[in-house]
Amino acid sequence: MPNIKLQSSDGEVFEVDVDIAKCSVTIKTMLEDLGMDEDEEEVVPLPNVNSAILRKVIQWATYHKDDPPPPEDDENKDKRTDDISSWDADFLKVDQGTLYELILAANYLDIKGLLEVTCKTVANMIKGKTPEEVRKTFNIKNDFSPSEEEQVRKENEWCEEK
Amino acid sequence: MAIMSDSKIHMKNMSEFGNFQLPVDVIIHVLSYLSTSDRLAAGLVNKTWHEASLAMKFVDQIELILGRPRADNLNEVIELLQHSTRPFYHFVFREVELKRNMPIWDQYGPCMKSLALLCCDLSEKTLVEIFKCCKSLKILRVNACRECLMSGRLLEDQNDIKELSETFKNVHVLDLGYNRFLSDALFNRLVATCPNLEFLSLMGCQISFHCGLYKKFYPQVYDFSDASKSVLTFLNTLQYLRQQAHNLKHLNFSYTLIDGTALATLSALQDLRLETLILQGCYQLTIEGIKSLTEYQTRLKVLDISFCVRITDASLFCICKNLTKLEVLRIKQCRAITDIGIKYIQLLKHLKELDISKDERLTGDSITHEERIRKENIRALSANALNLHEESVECIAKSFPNLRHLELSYCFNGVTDKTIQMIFKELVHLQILKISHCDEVSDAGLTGMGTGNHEYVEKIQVVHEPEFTESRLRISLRSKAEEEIVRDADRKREIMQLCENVSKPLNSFSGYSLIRLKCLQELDLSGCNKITDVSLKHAFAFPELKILNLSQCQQITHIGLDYLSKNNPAIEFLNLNRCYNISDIGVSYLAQRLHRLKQLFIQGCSQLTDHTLDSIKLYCKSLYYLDTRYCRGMTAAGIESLRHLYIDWHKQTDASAESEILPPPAPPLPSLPSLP
Repeated sequence: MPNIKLQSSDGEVFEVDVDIAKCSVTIKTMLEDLGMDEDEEEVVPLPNVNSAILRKVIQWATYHKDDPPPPEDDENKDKRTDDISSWDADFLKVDQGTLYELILAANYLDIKGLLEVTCKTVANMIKGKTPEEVRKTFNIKNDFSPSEEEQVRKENEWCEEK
Repeated sequence: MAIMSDSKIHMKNMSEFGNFQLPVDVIIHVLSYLSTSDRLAAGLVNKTWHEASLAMKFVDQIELILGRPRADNLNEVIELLQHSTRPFYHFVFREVELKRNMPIWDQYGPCMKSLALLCCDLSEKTLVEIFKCCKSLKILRVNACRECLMSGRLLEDQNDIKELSETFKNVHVLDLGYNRFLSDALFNRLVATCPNLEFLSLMGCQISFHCGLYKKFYPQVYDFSDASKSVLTFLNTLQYLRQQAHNLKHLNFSYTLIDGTALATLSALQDLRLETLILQGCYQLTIEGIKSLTEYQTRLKVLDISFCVRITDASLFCICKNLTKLEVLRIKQCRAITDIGIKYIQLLKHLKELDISKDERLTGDSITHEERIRKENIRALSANALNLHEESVECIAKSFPNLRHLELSYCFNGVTDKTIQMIFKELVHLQILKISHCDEVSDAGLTGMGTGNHEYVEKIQVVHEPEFTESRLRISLRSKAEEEIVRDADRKREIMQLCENVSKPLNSFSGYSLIRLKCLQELDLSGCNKITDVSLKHAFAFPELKILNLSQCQQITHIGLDYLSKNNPAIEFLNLNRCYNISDIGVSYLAQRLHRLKQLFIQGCSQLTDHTLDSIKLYCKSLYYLDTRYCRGMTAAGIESLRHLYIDWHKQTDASAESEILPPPAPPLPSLPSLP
């Protein structure tokens, strides 16, 4: 299997199987656009991902390399969050900062499976919580003014699920 | 190197603000995994999250329900909406008076996608003017509105109809249900404003199906342009259906007197290719109509003939043999149907939803013998009030692997501790579970403790029976009721011991707990009288549970409510009617912790006093409906202090009234006005 080299934002170079790297749509398009030959000793720079996160992403991609491609988005399908595999659940037992960086990396690298599982993890952490509890959980600053917040809260009271 | 320093700055920012600030499109992705209620709460986190929560696809799932039971007038909400900048597409007005000068029409009319007026007071002129504001409307429902139809002068002006037919060119759903004063003339004018209808409902309208009557109102030849202003006839409706046959896909004639002949004529209309036909409660419907329906309308996907008492096995045979595309079949309370007819359902390969509730001639065999039915497609099964045995419930648990919605209320012979265990083992994706009045189910079944060995539970009861008569209760009345109470207490104690000592090695295999159903959104355990605080403590923790009915679970106390409120934060509708053992402290747990509580039913909870009302007043910020009927401990002054709520309450004057049978609780916001 041919390998390619990925360079993280802090300069560390990772050698990865091309097929594994290609689960990132961003890398795949880069390779295609640049017409990079697989034998060439070229290094793909990933300025938005640091080495710690890139290592985790590669670990995830390696484990999931034989997964079938994720199904297309279907708005009617029920959006389950209880179907996170135990390997993924263990893999995502990380601190808030790492989870956050992983989501950003998955979004930037366009790795659908990883983005899905990380977003599901965040969704599970939100379920049933009050806005204040969500802020505390993720350390988010409330930038509403008291009157803005009250307006939104009151509007919410009249909303029902269709 | 430059890259490295950038990243360092980035990391530093992160730690300084510690902000979990994701890009809006990623937040939208996260929100798409949440329920509407969770999404609304998340939208309050900060401005970015709020922006994400206003994505079109989310706003499209929200409707505003204005009017009762929340408020008798709209002043407050209109004031609120005037200061609002967020979009709303779907509006329901219930039992309120509407005026053209309400700012809501100009503000939201242009992008309103659906408008429902249920039992509203408004003049015909106002209605037309409101219609003219709604330029993007897709769905229009005008149900049980008397005033605007009574005079028969609605849309008298041809110019209005002409203008509206342009305004309403996107309206594809028109529901005119329960309009007593709808006449042929009014019907013709209303449908003329909606030239592109696909869905028409005349549910509960007084349509005349009798030819003799046509002659009275149309003595000469029937003329579409000179329709009657006093009656609504099938003759006229049929004329419209004939003209629109190529467009119409969905019809609802529920609770009308549609008979076999009328359905046969309708079904045979040229160019009509129906996908949905709702005919609930059509008592005159006979096999003649069904035969014709199944012959011509083979594209039907949804058929609802619930409460059609004349439907027989032969009709069901025609349906299953010919309507092979059916995905939804509802034959609730079709009493003539037997096990023989039910067997034909296996012919429906695409079935996703089946309702056979209250078909009282069915036995458990009807389910266990349906070997060849394609069960993996079925997502919803309602089999309430059937005489099912344990084997049939086990069969359901084992052979419908993808069920999301299961109703087995009043199947008290079939739903037992043993079979409920099978449900918890196999059907972990359930979102709705209703086993109301299955009173064999106890803590053992819900927690799974001790049920691995079924005889073990039996043994507990046997062991303890002599004990209480001899030593524990020296003065015993030896009445059956007393024995039952003591047995309940013993059972509770045993299961509690099992639950609390899980760390110790158990001599009995522990089974499957209700807690496995992680996706549960609605749970009905009303009348399951053996359930106690033990279940609430050990088997109840559902992040998405929204609707919970525990009415008549009389053993529940404040201890159970303490755990319930800690572990089920998403509850919005909670029914605790006639849970006589709950106290003020129990309700105060609920009030403090269930932040999303909207409707609370505590009818007949006689221990509750004004302290309950105080804690509701203090903490329940989202509550808008409270049912405190027959709460003898509360005072009129206490009720008065909750003026902002819609409260059902009767002052209990004499003790004799206590024995009177309580009326059933008001259903939580039915989508249609109830039947006359």
